[in-house]
Amino acid sequence: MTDFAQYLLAGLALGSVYSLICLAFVVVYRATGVVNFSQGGLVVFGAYATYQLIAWRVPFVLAVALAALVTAAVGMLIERLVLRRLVGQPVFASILITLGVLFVLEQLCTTLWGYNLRILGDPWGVRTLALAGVTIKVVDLWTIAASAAALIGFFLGFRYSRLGIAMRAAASDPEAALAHGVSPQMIQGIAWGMAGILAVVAGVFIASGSRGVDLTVSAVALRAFPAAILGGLDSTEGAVAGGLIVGLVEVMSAAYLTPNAPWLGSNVHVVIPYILMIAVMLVRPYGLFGTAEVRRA
Amino acid sequence: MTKVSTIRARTINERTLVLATSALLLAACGGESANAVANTPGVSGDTIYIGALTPLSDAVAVIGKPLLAGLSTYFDKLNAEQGGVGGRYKVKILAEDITYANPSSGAQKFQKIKDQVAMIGLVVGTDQVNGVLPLLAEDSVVAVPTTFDAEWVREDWLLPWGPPYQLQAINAVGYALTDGGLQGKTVCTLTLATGYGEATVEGVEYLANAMGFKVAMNATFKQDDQDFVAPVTQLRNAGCGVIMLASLPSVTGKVLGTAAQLGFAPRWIGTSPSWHHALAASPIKDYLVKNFWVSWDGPAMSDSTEAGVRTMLAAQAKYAPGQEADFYYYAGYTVAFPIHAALEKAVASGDLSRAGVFAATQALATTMNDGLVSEYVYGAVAARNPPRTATIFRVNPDVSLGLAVEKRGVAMPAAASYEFVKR
Amino acid sequence: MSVLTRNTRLTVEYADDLRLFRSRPAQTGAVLLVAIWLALPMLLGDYWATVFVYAGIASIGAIGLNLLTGFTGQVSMGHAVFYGIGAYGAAIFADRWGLPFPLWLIAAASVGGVVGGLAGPFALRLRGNYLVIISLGLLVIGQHLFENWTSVTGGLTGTAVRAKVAIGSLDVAALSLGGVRLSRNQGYLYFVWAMVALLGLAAHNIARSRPGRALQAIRDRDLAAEVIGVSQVHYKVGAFVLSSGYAACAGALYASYARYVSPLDFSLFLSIQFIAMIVVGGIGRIYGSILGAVFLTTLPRVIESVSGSLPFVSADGTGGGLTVQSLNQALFGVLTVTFLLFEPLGLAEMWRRVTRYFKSWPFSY
Repeated sequence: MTDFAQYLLAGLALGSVYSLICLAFVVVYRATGVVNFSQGGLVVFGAYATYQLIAWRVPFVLAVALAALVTAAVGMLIERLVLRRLVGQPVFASILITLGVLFVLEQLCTTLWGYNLRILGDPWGVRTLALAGVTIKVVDLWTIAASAAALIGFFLGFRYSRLGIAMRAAASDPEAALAHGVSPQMIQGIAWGMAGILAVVAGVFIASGSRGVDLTVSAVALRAFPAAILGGLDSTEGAVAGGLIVGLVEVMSAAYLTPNAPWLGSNVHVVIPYILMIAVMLVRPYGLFGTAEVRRA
Repeated sequence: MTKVSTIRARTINERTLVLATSALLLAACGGESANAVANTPGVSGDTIYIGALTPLSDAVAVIGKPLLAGLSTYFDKLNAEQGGVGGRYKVKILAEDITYANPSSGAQKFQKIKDQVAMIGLVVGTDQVNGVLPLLAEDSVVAVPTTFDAEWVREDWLLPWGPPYQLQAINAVGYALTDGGLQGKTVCTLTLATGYGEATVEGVEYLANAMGFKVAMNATFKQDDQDFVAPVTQLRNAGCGVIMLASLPSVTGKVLGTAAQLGFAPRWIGTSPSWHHALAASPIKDYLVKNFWVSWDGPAMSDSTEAGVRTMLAAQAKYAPGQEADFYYYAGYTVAFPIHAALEKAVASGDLSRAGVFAATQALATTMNDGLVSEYVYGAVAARNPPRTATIFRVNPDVSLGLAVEKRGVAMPAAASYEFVKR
Repeated sequence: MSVLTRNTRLTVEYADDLRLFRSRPAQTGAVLLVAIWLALPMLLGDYWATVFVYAGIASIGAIGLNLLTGFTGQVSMGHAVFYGIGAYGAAIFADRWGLPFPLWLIAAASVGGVVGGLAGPFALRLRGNYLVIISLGLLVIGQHLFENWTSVTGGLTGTAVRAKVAIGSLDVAALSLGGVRLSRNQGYLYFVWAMVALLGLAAHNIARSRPGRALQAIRDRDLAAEVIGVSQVHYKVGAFVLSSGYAACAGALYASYARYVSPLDFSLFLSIQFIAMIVVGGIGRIYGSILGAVFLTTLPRVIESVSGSLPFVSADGTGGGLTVQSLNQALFGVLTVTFLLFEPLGLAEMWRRVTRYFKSWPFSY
C-alpha cells in the first residue's frame, strides 16, 4: 500500500513534468497549428541557461526568471525567423522545420556548454518529507504545484484575459480576429514565447538534484508526445490530463507490468503510453479533450 | 591535414600482391630495411598514422572527446621526447567523427581512412565495433576497440584492451561479498538496456553461479527514463544489498538520487562508464561517499605517489593543457600502451605493412603500462588473457576525479576462471 | 504537310504525358545515366563507393516514402521500422532459412509490405498531425520489438548478417570485369544502383498510370476522390504496402551490405532523414527522391572533405569551434528549413526550371 502511494506520487510528479511540456505543445498548436518537435531543444536550452546563471551566482528564483526570459526570446526568435513563413504549408513541412530547429538548438547548446554533465544547483537537491511512511520529494511537490498553477493560469488566462481571448479568437478564425484588430502574428510570437517559459520550468524540474544537465534532457519531449495526443492537441485541460495519465501509466507499468509480465520485454513502460495513445486515437481520433476538425471535402 | 601517400582502390588481388611484395622485401632485406615501409598504407616518410573512430559531436562525445585527447597526448609526448616509435617514426592520429547511435557511420569512416592509416587506435561503441568488424578482416586492418566487451578478446583483427565488463562486475560484486564486508547480502543488478548492460549482467550471473547464490533481480532502464521510483522500490523490496549498476553519468545521478530520497542505501557498484566526477559535487555526494563504489583498474588518478600517474598528469599539463583530465582521458591515455607496443614490434621487425602490424599484434606478449592498468597478455588470439583483476574505488569529493582507492588488485577466483570464447 | 510538324518537346496528346522518356533530351539523359553507372564504380575509391552505396540504398527507401507522402499525402515517421523489418528479414531469410539471393530480398520486402499494410487502416481513421504521431508510436513499438524479440533480432547487441547477393557463381561482392577483380564496394555500387533504377522505374510506372492518379486524387481531396469512384481503403492501404515494401527492400540491402544490424540502426533519426530526403529532393517526384537521397547522404561527406578550409570548424573539435558533424547536423536542420521555405518542390523543381529554360531558349518564359 505504501508502495502504491509512492508510485502514485511518482506518477503524478512525472505526469506534471509531461503536463508542462504538453501545455507548451498545446499553446503553440492552438496559435499556429504546428506540432512543435523543437520543444525538447527549448527544454535543454532552458536548463542550460538556468545552470549558467546559477553558476554565475545569480539567486535561484531570479536565475529561473531570467532563463525563462531568454528562452522565451529564443522561442519568439524562432517564430519570427522561421515559423512565420510557414503559413499554409503542409503537415510534414512544420514537422521537418521544427525538427530542423531542434537540431540547431541542440548544436547551439553543445557549442556553448560542451558535453560534460553539469549539476544544476537548484535549492531542492534531494530533500524529502515523510508522510505516513511515504517519502515525498520536495522537488515533486514543486513540480506538481507548478503544473497546477500553469493549468489554472492558462485556464483563467484563456477565458478572461484580453490576451487569452485574442489568442482564442485568432485560433478559431484568424481573419475575423484580424478584422477586430488582433494580430495573428503577434499571437503566434507570444505562443512561442510561452512555450519557451514552460520549457524552462520543465527543464529545471527535470535537471534538478543529482540529475544534472546534458544533451539527453531534450529526450523528455519525445516521451511527452503520447500525452499531448491523448489529451487532444488543442486542449489545455487535455494537456494536463494527458500528461498525468501518461505519467501514471508509465510509472505503474514499470512498477507492476515489468516484473509480472516479463514476456512483454524489458522497459515496456516506454511503449505502453504509445499503445494507449494509439488505442484512444482509434476511438477518439482527436484525443480525449480535443475538438474534432470539421472539414469540407 | 597532411596529404598521405596512399594506395587507392586496392582490389583483393592487389592487396595480396602488396602483402607478398612486402614479405619478399622483408625476406630480401633481412628484416631491417627502410624499403619495407615504402608504399605501406598509413606510413609516410617517418610518420605513422593511426585512425580513431570516435564520437565528437553527439551526446557520447562526453566519452569520445577525452578518449581521443588522451590517446593524442600519449603520442605527442612520445614524438617530442623519444622521437617517436623506435626513436624514428612520429605517430599521428587521424580522427574521424562518428555518430554513436548510427552503427554504419563507423563503417563509412573506416572506408574513408583505411588507406591512410597503419591501424585503427579507437573505435568507440559496441555497435560501431560490430559494424567495422567484417571490414577489418577484409582489409587486414587491426583495430583497438574502446569498449570492454568479452567478444572482442578472441577476434583476430581486434587488439582489445582493459578489463571486460564481465570481469569488472565479477570482481566488484565478488569483492563486496567477501573482503568488502557484505557477506550474504542479496545481489541485484540495474543496467542500461544496451549490450553494455547485458555484458555486466552476464558477469554478475557468472559470479552467482560460481559462488552459489542467486541474483535476486535484474532490472533495466532506458537512457531517457525520467523516473526511477519504480525500479528502485522494486530493488528495495527484493531486499537487494549489493547492486551492480551499469549506467551513464546523467542516469547514475538520477537513479542514486532517487535511492537516496527513498532512504534506500545498499552498496551500489558502478561500472567505469557510470561515473562522472561532476557527481562528486552533486547534492548526493554524501550518499555516494557512503554507498557507491566504482569498478575499474589501476591506481586512483589523484594518487601522485604512482609514477605512472605523475607522468600522465605531467604530459597532460604539457601537451593537452586545455583538456580536463577526466576518467575517459585517462582511459584514452592508457589505450595508447598496446598500440605503441605493437608499433614498436612492427618497426623492430622492419615491417609496417598490414601483415607486419598484424604479426606484431600476434607476437605481443605483455605491454608496458606504467602501472596504470593491469597486464593484458596478448600473443596468439586463442591464448589472449585480459586483466582479471580490478580496483574498487570509493567516492571522495576532495580528490581529483572524486575517486579514491578502496581496494586494489581484487582478483576473484570466478574472474580467473571466466572463459572467453569466439562468438 | 502542315506547318505543325510533330515536335517531341511539346505535349500534344495524352499519350505523350504517359511516355516514359518524353523527349530526345530525356532519352539522351537516360543513356548518359547508364554510362555514369558503368563508369563511376571504376573511378571511385572504396570510401566514395561506400558513400554512394548508402546513397543508393537511401534512394530506394526515399522512393518508397515519396509514394506514400508525395503521392498519397500520408506523412509517416515509421519508415525506419519497415526498413528495420527488411534488414532483420534479410538476416532471417538468407542466413537462417538459407534462401538464395533474389528470394531473400523478395521475402524481406514482402514482409515489410504486409506489416505496412496492417498499419494502413490507421491512416483511414486519422489525418495530419495525428497520423504523424501515431506513426511515431509505430516506431516506438517497432524499436521495442527489435530490442526485445531476441530470438528473431538478436536483441540489443544486434545480429551479424551474411545475406549474400549472389546467383550461382556470380557474386556481387566478388565481380570481375574483363579480368579485373572488383572490390566488394564496387560490386555493390553496381548492384545497388541497378536496383535503384529498377525500383525507380517501377515506382515511376505506378505513379504515371491509373493507381498513381488515384493516389494523387486521394492526396488532393480524399472525399472527392471517393465520390468519383476511387476506393480510399483500397488505395491508402495499397500505398502503405508499397511504401513499406520499398523501405524493407532498402533495409534488406543495407543489412546485406553492412553485414551487421542492431536496433540503433532504425531510429527516429532515420525516419526523419527519409522525410528530409523527399522534401529536399522534391515531394511527389520519383527522381526527386533519388536526388534528395544522394544530396543528403553525400553532402555531409563533401563538407567533411572540405572542412579543412572552413573557419571555426575542425574535423575533431580539438581546435575549438564546431566539429564537422555539429556543422552537418545544424546544416541538416538549416537545409530542410531553407528548402521548405524557399523551394518547397525541392531539387527536382530546380532541375525542371533549368531544363525548361533550355527547352524554351531563346525565350525566357
